[in-house]
Amino acid sequence: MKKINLQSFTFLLLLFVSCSSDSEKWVTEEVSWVANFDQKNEYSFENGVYVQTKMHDKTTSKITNVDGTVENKNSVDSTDLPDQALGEYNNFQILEMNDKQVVLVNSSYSSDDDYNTKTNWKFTCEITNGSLTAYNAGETIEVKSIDDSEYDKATEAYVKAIVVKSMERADPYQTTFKTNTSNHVFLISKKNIKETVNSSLDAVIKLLKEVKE
Amino acid sequence: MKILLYAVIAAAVARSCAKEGSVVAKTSGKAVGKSGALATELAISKAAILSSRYLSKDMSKESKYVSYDSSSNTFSISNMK
Repeated sequence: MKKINLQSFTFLLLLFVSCSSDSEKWVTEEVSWVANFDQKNEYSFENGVYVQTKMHDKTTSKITNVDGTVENKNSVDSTDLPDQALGEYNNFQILEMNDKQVVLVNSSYSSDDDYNTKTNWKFTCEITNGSLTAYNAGETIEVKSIDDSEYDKATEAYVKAIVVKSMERADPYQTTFKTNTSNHVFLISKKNIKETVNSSLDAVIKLLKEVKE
Repeated sequence: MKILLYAVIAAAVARSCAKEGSVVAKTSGKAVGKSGALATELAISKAAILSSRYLSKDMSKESKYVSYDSSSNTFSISNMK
């Protein structure tokens, strides 16, 4: 009789340990997202600053959900922007210009999606068509950003931080964003700046979860 | 160049939260009484602590050009410092 009770006790103990282990099981589930963005932005010169007036964005993306289903979402967003909310802005200024290079500063502020986001970024560009003399004469010159890799790294940290703040359930140490900016070209005249840029994104958002079965 | 990514990120986040919500609901249904709900809350709290730590300290390690001001809920990206 004692032997049977001991076996029963051992069985119950093992069952309890097993159940306790299950109740504290942690798993991660992920949503992955691969996308390409083709952007064209136009900025008009007003009071010493080139203010954004138009944007065009073509996005192609593939999202793989937690359950493994895949969605291909492509979109085109083209907008004139004369009516931005008070205090919101996106503009460029020419910081320096010489015979070989142009340094542009992009400043933006937005309160979209319940966040306040500010950008203040200096892009150093080489003149690929035209000259300082041509610009001063009123002609349009073409310049290309020399190296956007630091901008990409900062963007990765920035977007990741927004996601972490948004969810408060994502594990920031397992969430990754990789961006690559390319073909970043500006057509600059005294009247306006036309910017074209391609960006790619490879992101994985991992969700930290407790699962009980 | 205004970063458009966050607009699309928001959609992905909403999608993720919806998926997560369904998992939590499923979990709660199978949980035994209050202990299940408590475990779920603990899970959320643990993730929230990780998130807070990341925003306040570790985020700046990933890029010296990015910062977050909790008082104004402002994310900033700048190489003009």
